[in-house]
Amino acid sequence: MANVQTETPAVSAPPRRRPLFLAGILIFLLGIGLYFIQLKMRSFVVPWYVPILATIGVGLMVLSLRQRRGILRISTLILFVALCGFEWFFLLVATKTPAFTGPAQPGARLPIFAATLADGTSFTNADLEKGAPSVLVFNRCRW
Amino acid sequence: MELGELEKRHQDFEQRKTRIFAISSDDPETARLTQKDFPHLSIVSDAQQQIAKTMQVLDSGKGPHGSDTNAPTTFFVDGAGTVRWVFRPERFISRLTPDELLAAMDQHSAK
Repeated sequence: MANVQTETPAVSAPPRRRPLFLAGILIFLLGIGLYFIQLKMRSFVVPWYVPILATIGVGLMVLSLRQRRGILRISTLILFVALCGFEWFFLLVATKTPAFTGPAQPGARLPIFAATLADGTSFTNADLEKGAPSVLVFNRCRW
Repeated sequence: MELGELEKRHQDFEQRKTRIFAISSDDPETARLTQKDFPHLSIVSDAQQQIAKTMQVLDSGKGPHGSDTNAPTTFFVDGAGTVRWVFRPERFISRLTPDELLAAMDQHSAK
């Protein structure tokens, strides 16, 4: 009787992929999380790390797409690319302030003005000429 | 400048006999509430933006619904009403710290 030997083909495990897509999302979100922490700490430096981390995150997501594609992944990437673009636009363009060119330059007298203090009393430039130095802080709104 | 930080450091400004006026486009009622929160600062209601227009500190279209609002700007003025120092950050999300302001005051008071 013939001795029949059968070989079962070795099932090789699929190559292990690094979770680049997930890492990209996490790095992206890390920047936003760090910014919230920064605000909690009342620190108001420009958070350049937010769009930089977002860009790194998007880069990892793009690399991940070279390994495996899918509609969900591509859609998510498009969303994150748009968010990343918004972050760069916000920091580079939207938050930029114009250079000060007004009349109150160093060495000049304050121009004539009149307004009211919170208690309803008047406040004019003459109040700032009474011998004591002052700081005028112009804010966008209540902080 | 962040008003809370200025309020915390009010003694440093009092030592230099310097009064701080915080000016925004808030209406008088909001200014009154702000004054309660920051009792050592002098809150100015510039709801009609008269001072802002005179001093030319408005940032066009950067306020709510595209309105004009103050570009964050800080002036140090001596006792005779002469401007000694002006600071405006490159971006409105950054702020001058009290330490930076105090250092500038000390530097420009001595001149």
